[in-house]
Amino acid sequence: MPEKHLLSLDIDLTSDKYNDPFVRNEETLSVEELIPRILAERKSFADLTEESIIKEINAANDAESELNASQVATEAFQGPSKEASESLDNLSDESSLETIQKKKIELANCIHSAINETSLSLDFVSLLISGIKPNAGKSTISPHLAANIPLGSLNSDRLAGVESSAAETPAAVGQGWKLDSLKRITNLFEDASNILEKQTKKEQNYWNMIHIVLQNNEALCKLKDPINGSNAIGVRYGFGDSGSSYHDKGLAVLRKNDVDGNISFHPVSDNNKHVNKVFKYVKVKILSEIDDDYMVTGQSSFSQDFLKEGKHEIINEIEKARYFIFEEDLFYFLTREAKVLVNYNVNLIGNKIIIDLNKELIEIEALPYDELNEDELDNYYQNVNKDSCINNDKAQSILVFLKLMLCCFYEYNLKLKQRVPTAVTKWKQNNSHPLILRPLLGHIRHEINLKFTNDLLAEITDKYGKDIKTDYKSSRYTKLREMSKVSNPFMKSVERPHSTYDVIIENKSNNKVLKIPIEITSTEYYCDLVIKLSVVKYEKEEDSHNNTDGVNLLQITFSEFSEFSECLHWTIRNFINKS
Amino acid sequence: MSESEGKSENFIQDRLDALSSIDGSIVSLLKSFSSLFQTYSNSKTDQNPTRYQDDITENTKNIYKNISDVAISLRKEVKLLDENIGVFGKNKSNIMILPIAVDQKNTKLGKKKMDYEVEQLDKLMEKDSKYQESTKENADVTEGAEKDQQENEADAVKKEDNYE
Repeated sequence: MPEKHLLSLDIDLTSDKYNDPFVRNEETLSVEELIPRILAERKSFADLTEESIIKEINAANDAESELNASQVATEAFQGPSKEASESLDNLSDESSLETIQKKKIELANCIHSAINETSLSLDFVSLLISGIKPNAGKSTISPHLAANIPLGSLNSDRLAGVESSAAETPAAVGQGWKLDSLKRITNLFEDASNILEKQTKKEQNYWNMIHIVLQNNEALCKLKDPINGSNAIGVRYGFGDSGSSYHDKGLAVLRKNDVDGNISFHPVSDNNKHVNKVFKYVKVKILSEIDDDYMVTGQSSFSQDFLKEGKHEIINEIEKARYFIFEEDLFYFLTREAKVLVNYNVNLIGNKIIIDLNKELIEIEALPYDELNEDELDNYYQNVNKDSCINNDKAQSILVFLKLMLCCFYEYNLKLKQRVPTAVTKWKQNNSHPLILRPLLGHIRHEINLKFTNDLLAEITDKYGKDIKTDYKSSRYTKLREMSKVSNPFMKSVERPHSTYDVIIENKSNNKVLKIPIEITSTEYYCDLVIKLSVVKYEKEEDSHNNTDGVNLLQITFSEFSEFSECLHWTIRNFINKS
Repeated sequence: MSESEGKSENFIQDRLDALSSIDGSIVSLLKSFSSLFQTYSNSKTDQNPTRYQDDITENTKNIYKNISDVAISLRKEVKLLDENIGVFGKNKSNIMILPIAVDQKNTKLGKKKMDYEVEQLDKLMEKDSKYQESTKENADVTEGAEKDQQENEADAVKKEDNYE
């Protein structure tokens, strides 16, 4: 028969020394704690009466006394422990008290370890669950574990039922593994060869395309792709190597497409950065004054010559980029020149250079290239009505002239570069700028001045016709003719315009002769007017032919046409009146 | 295939094709390995493994032949490239491989562009010559000079005189 112990709380156990949160001193329980406890023990207060409790207490006392009685009986039965039974009556007996104490401590220890085990298993479960539901795990895990072990570091998995039958024949397993490996190796080789085959196709495609580019006589070079820094082949599509001093030397990377090995064309700038170019082309428009209003009377056309049928797409792309980099270059230098020419009725407004001539405007414009705008590209606007296309050819010629002048500059620059570098060539290289707009404007103005002079001379013939006989001959490009050898066809454009007039005026009354050589030219700026007038007087006509006995009357340089005209009038009037 | 000059009709393309076919045969080497293993594993599962013996021999022979082919053609390519380094006129398309990497410069582009523009001008002038009157505008006169690039310089001056 197991020993029965009656539980009763020892106050000492609940003291500070054995402070156990699970064993509370019932005497000190507060009402809030007491009521749930009573509820837990008695289920409900409804059937709880004073009598029933008294009865219960009595019953308990009876049971105790009965127990005591039985104990007495057993002790009486066990002869030798008579004294013990005596001591049982007396609770102060030391040895029995000690055993009870011991048992209690033992029990408390058991409870402790149970709590410990529970909390350990709770920790385990929490850690396990934290892998799937971190929040649920976090709320139940102990602080120590949480601090030392990361959440979710424990995992569990269901084990499939291990088939044990195969293990019974180890030879078959080995065979299976072997076959499996063979099959896998076969597949591996096949897959690898398929992948590599694709790779070689790509490679072949790539090199073939590079070859196509090379066959177009492009200069290829090595460079780093600015996007990912990988090695790539670049193409020098611009004019940087052939004399252009524009900041964009025209370098592009031929980027390989990783999927099919095709190459694509991407311009890069000097510092190896990507550039997104807006293609622009230069257009020349001529506006003429009609009824006090300026109307477009001519436009240059735009041709997509650079796109050729039957050429590879990449070549067309390169050609296109090359075409537009030239236009960009051209317009850049045009605007540079236009800035200096502000004094000569050249205005720079936005993307437009407007040259104001006598009753005529020349507009040079950089227009964005739109592949889809067919109207624009087919030069539809060029021929709207009859008036608007009178000067089309002129506009076109101006455009071609501008382009040729830039090409001329390229050639000049290239020749400088190819020479042995000296301080002079270096200086020249750094200080040469293309002459494009200035010669154009200079020559146009020169022609206007010539027209004025012709008009003036006609006027003089008209006005003084009854007193004098005028005779003149003119020659143009006289400077050019003086040169012994014209080596460069561009000389004519680059040289300052220079024309001479030889006017001979004979007084009808006394046969005295005035010889008036007029030189019309310009400063190095091309646009300033310089008129050199000298007047020589001869007594007889023959003297003027022999150039003897002449008297120098005047030698003046003019920079204004009106002054020149006035002076000429005055001279002739004087000549008529004095003699 | 980097440093090459002049027209490259055959030589470069030939080399590219040859190298690509070498690539192809190296890759097919893997394929023949695969088929060799295939035959081998077939022979393992079959009841009568002896009949696969010839296949295996055949496969192995193929592999070795492939390897030797690759080696030979690679050596050939190397030899071809070697022969053409630094010498001119060894091949039909007259390509010389330079022994060092030279930064290639396309200096002809400017000239090409100029030729193109002159051509454009030529066309314009042709069109113009139909009504080439003395009312010619100045701009055209100056450009007349450009046209003469192809012609004699002396003529240029004369031509200008005609305009007057």
